[in-house]
Amino acid sequence: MNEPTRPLIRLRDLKRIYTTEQLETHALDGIDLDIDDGEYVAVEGPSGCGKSTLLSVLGLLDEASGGEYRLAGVPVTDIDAEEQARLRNREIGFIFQSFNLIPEMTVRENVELPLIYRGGLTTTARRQAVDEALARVDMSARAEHRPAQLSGGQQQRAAIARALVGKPSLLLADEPTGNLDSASGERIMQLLDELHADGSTLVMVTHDPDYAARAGRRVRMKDGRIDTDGSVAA
Amino acid sequence: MIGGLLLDLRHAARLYLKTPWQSALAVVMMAAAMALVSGMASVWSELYQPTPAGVDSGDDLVTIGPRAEDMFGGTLGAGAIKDFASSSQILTGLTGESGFSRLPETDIDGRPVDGQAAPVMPGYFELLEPRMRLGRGLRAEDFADGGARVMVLGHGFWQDHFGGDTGVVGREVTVGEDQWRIVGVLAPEFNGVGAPKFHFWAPYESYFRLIQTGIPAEMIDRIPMWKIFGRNSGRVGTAAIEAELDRFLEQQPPAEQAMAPEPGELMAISGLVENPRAHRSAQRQVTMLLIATVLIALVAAVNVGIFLLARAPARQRELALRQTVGATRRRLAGQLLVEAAVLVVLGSALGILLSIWLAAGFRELRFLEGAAFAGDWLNLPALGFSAMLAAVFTLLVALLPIITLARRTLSDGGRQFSARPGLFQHAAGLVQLGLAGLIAAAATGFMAHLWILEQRDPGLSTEGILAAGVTFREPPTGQFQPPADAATWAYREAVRERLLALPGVEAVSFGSPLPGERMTAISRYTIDGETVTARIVNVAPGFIELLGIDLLHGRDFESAGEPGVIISRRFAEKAWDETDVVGRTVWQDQSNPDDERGRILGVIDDVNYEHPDEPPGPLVLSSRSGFGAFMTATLIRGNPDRERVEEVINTALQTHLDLLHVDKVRPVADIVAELTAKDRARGRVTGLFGLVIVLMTAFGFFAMQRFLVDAGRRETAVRMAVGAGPRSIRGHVLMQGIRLGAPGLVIGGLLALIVVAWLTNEGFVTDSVSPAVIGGGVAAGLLALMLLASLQPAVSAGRLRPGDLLKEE
Repeated sequence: MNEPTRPLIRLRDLKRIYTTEQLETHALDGIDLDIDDGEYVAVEGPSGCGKSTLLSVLGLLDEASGGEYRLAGVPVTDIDAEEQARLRNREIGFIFQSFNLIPEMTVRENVELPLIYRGGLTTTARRQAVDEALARVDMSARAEHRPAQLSGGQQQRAAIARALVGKPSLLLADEPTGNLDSASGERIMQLLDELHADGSTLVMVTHDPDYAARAGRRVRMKDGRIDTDGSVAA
Repeated sequence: MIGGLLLDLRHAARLYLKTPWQSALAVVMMAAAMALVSGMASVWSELYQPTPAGVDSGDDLVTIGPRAEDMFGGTLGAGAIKDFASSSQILTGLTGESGFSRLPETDIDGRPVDGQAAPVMPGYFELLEPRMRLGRGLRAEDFADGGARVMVLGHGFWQDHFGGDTGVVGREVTVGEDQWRIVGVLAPEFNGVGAPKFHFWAPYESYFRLIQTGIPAEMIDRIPMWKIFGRNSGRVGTAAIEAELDRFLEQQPPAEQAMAPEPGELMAISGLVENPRAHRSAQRQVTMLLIATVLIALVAAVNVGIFLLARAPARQRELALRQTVGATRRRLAGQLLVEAAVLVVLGSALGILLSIWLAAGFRELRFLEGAAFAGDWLNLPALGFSAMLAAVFTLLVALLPIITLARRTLSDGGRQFSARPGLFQHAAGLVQLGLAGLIAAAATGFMAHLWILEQRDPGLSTEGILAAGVTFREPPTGQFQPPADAATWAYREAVRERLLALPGVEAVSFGSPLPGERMTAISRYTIDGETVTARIVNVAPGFIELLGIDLLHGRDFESAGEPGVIISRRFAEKAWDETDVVGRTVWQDQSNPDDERGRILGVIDDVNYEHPDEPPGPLVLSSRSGFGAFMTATLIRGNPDRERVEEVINTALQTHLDLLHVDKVRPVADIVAELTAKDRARGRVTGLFGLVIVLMTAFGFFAMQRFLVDAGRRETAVRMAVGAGPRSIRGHVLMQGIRLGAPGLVIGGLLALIVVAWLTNEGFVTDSVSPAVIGGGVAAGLLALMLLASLQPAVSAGRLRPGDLLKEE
């Protein structure tokens, strides 16, 4: 396991408040958190505690209502939507519980998508990167299949390939095994372990204490706040 | 049952009020489509079954009239009609109503009568079977021996002149100096086929004796003055009737051919109409407009479909939920039908109101002038048919969510990942853009045509010029002789002097016909073997300068009645290939070599004298004496009081030419503008149709794009998650729009090209309008429209918050 070298993520008093006409919901209520480069962090907590919201804010899919968020030293709360998209494309890879592969596209096309949005890459370079990513998750044989032709585990592996094809510095996984049987889930977790072992920074939301235990650090949330934050005992 | 219905109604109301603007638009579109189709179909059906009110004789009647606009009444004489009747294998009961119907000032039983009477041929009442209020119509025996002095009264005349006396039939009245017998009174709804309201109907020979035309009796049967009616007993098309007519005309003896039209100059049309030429033109134009309204209705229907289907994905979840709590498929179908029925009822109610207004409005269209309309009410079958179509279509589309629901399981109801345009969207895009291209091109063609006509330099200026035309106080009878020239010149001098003394008058001259009047005399000149056909305008000195016509060579007339002519550039170039031809002659009396009447005094630049759509032709200005000079209009440059002008001229006429009085004083620009009035009306109507279809297409395309963006939000969120920025997402949506619209764009551009080429070929649009430019312009416009309609959905997709969407697991 790599030793943490420098803070990749820095959150200070981070808030996310959902406001409706009658109600104000504090999904994140003053989060202070540092995640170093190369760390493997599991975020746990009961439903509605703010885990997925935290992941969305970390992945720049959602905007904080207050506080500070620095990604690799860059204050991302102040940058415009285009720059956020650029950061998402280059620095962040997402793995979702429901895979979120585009059904009309083949596995190859899904995996290639981040590289298309990155621009500046030749077709050959894109193809090579996609092949490497698919090989990394053992999905080369299924490259021309559509998502509907794959099992859940295969779909999630294709989704992981899509997440890592752009070589991001941060991988965010939201319940990556939530829709899978235990065997498939175990295989995905092994894949995540390997990615971490190769140097990826990984933040994973999970309900499963066994999977959480595989991370180097466990952050437990409650009511939009961090309840506990500590290293996992060996 | 009732409770459930009320619940569904309440739910439908809530549903539509949730998106009030879209709902209102759907209702308005449905109403507009229904109104346009039923309004235009009402006009169309009347044009194809034209029978004057009060006629009960069936629908196989035909009218024969002149094909050309400028054939004054010219059909056949009564004798020729009778000959044709005996030889025709197709038509029976041939008869006629004369356009020569103005009564001279006369009196009936000592009371003066001034108006119109209808001289008719034998068989008129037998063929038309007009409804009678009292007595009978004219019979064969009334026409025997040169015609009996019998009359059938029009209802209005009977009321006004005879106080509605029911004992009037059989009564002898004194008309002029003769005794006439009243044999019947017509029902109020029948006023004859012609435009005027007739006072009475009489055998034609008796009528001509009454008005004392001085025309010898043997000539009366040869005057081609009839609107001819007959029964199409062969039930053939009008082309076959026209062919039979042409054969008849070819066989006319040479003596008759001088009076009769040439083969091909007469036309036949189904129904009883005043002006067959105008009626057929109206039929063609209304048919085109009906097609346009049907196409607009189709686009509106597609839009209503889009509106209803756009709700379908969002409703899957609701319908699935209702199923989980026990709603049967039948119950859900009932709910959807109630929702659709609300839309249909609202749309139909508004549609009926609009239809009534539009059906009346369409009849007033300027280019339908001269067409015969029997009724003035909406055609109920047409309205019912369009309402039924709207209802069936809406109800069918409304049920689609139920069919979609059948393909889904309850558990995944409402969960949609991405949306790609399906068959419906592609078909809708194709139909909308294709039809929008067609209608918009027609509208653009008509408007470009109008613009070109209005921009053309006629070579003369009509702005700020008033014209006072003159007419006879009483129609001349017998052999008319114009007054001596001296009286005409004295009249002109008096008018000129007095008008120039009026405030606001800058210049005065005389001329006839006026620019824009289609009554120009035509003459043929043979010069060095080259024949030049030219229009002749009778003018006075100062006419050229007053109208701002450029004098290229020579001079204007210096005195009234001065011999010589002024010709136009085109005349000179055609005859001599040069323009400086002053001093040459356009014709010469061989017996009198000193005759100066054909000598050219000046050459003017070309002027578009008759119609802006016709190229300027050779023109000859003459200051001749005689009838032409006597009837010339007065032209006044300036802004004097029109009543004072009329008063001054009438005073001078009373002194010098008391046969005449001022007909009307009006700006010459109005006379010219009148020429393009039909073009303006066509431009406005088609422009309105074009605007409606473009707006509908824009709305439909917008709604489709909005639907695709809404239904594909999850996919958009994933794209954003992997690094697509707002710009990429906007570009993706715009590209999706272009892909969706491209086939429609190509078809629309092609249809635009074809329709403008066709309109040009048919003479509706001037040759100066290029079909390729219009087609390309319309295609470019539609592309801009597509992008514009996609802009808001694209912007909204770019602003999506992917975090919220991707959390919805």
